[in-house]
Amino acid sequence: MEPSQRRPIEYRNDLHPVWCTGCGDFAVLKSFTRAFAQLGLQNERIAIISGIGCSSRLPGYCATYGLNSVHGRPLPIATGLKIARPELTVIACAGDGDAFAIGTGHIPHAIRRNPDLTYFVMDNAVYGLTKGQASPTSAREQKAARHQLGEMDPPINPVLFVLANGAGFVARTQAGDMKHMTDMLVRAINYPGFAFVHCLSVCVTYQGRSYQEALDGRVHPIMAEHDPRDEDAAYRLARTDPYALGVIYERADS
Amino acid sequence: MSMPAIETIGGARYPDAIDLAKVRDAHRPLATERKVVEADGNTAAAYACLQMWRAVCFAGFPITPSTKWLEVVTDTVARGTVGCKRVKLMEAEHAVADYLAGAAAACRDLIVATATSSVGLDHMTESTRSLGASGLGNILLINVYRAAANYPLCIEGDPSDALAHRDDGWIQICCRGVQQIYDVVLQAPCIGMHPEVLTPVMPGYYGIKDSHRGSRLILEPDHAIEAFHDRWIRPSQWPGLINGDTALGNCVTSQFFQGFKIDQRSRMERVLTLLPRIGADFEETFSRPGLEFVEPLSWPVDNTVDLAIVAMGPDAGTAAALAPEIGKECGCKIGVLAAQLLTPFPHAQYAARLAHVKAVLVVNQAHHAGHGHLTHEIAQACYPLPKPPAVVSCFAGMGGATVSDATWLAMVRHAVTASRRGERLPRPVIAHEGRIIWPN
Repeated sequence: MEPSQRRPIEYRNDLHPVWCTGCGDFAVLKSFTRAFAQLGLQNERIAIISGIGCSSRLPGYCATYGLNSVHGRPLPIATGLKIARPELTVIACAGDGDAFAIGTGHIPHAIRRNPDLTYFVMDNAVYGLTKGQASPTSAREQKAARHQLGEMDPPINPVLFVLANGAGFVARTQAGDMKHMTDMLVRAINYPGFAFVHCLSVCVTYQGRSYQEALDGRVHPIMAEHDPRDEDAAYRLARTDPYALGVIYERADS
Repeated sequence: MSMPAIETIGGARYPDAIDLAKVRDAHRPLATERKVVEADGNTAAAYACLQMWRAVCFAGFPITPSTKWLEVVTDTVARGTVGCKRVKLMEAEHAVADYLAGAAAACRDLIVATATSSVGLDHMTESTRSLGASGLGNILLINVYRAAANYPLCIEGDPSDALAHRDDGWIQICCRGVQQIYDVVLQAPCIGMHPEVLTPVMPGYYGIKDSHRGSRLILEPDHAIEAFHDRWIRPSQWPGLINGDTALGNCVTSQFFQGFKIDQRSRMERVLTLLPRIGADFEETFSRPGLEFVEPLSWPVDNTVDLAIVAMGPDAGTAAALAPEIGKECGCKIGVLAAQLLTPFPHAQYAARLAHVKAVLVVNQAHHAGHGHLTHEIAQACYPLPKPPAVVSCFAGMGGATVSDATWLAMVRHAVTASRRGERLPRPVIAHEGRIIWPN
């Protein structure tokens, strides 16, 4: 494939993001535009569909088609869009609340329908927009430390969840590593079916720098011997290592 | 589905816009000539949807009493007799609304459709509000009336679902009878997709009473429907999902919010000038009544009516049939109006009809905290009149109950008595099975 002549800035519009200073969503936005440039996509062939929340503002900052929709619903909207315009590159993006609280019910159905779209979930395990409540992916320790409701409830494991529902492409990345995010996004977009990217991130306002430092210390590349075509190995990895970054599973028949 | 670039009013060129000529060519007609079939209301609505070449994306989730619409559409599409159409069975009604939003926003020239009822419409609420304001007039949501999510649940035809969603921002049209259901669904996209309106349409009809009632249905040939649609539906100059182009979920400050609402209201008001033109064209084309604001079912040309009855749906037909006899018995001349356009409500047209009547009996078939949804609108219509009539409110047929001959008689007697007492807006009553059952 010839290298693209496009520049990431060509996928940004003039709006200034209103995220908090230091928010990982800035890096996610950059990784989106870098991935588009790397793939040489035409702006009008991209559609980014989001739900509600800090991260769901992302389509508004891209010079592409986009829709900042309602809470939890980017997947059915993206599915309808893809049916009507199959030639578009469709990316649904959401936060952990959007994806794993109100929108969870749509994930298994999107997976079984297997539309050729990418679902990028920015998971900081907190409801940032509404001032820091616990989300379905918040760890018990986090909830205990911050006196959040739901301390007794265990978190959802997003990667295990989508694997169990039959997703054909599952990857994990983190918002502090732009190059890795871009790589994962490119591979997800190139995957011919439903592709899930779990992006670990930090809310600078309600978690702070120490969380980012802790996350940086915990994340690591998936071990070299992991075969992403081995479904059993993917399950084992999903159950045992929540910080392994890379392609966890890619169905062999893809 | 690819075509050469088209130029939009913004000057941008979109080389991958859907090739409408190919979509049109791929359509296979359900009827090549006019024919008469036997159908129930759900089937009639489904046939109308299937005959529109622009309607290629359908979605649904089964709920009584609208399920048969989905069954007919799915079965016909699966048999491959209508071309390249697609149907998606979604996981819930809110997913249906969102799926349609995505498909509709992707191409404004396509018609996307579903049918639902009651709780299903309630489940869609989070999206119907957004869609009503979105400018996506190419969405057709067929609402088969059934009591809104309620205690107790009730599966019969009660328009409380439609009336609970009057502020969602959709054009709402009430149909009466199988033929009218078919005709209204055919005309609906002509209003919704008109560039001055761009507002989604929610045609509705009574569950069970009309959705499940078999009747004679004249099917028009697809090519005639195509020609009629082509007179009203032109290729959209607006692209789909461009930033800021739709209002779905966008968040603005209160300063800008006013502008969105003014635009929404203005587009809705244009329905009042457009609807009679479309209705007249339909009538001229197919020799059946087209869209109207209100159906004068039993109304003298000289407007000499003492008591006007305003009602909705098939029960209004019963009232019209009984009007001469009941009028004789009660000593007054009765006229009957069946509401057709619910939203926006055509107040001026009602005011013109009711300017010289002594009293109006408004029959509400949906529970309401006050005098009734329909009563509020009629009272508003009559308020500016020099001599406003008494507006007498009755609730009858709630939960889809039959409004019997005896019930009509009881309501007319009540209206005559109340108006003769000089009450302008008497306390509403509930009538059932030939009696005023509340207040006791």
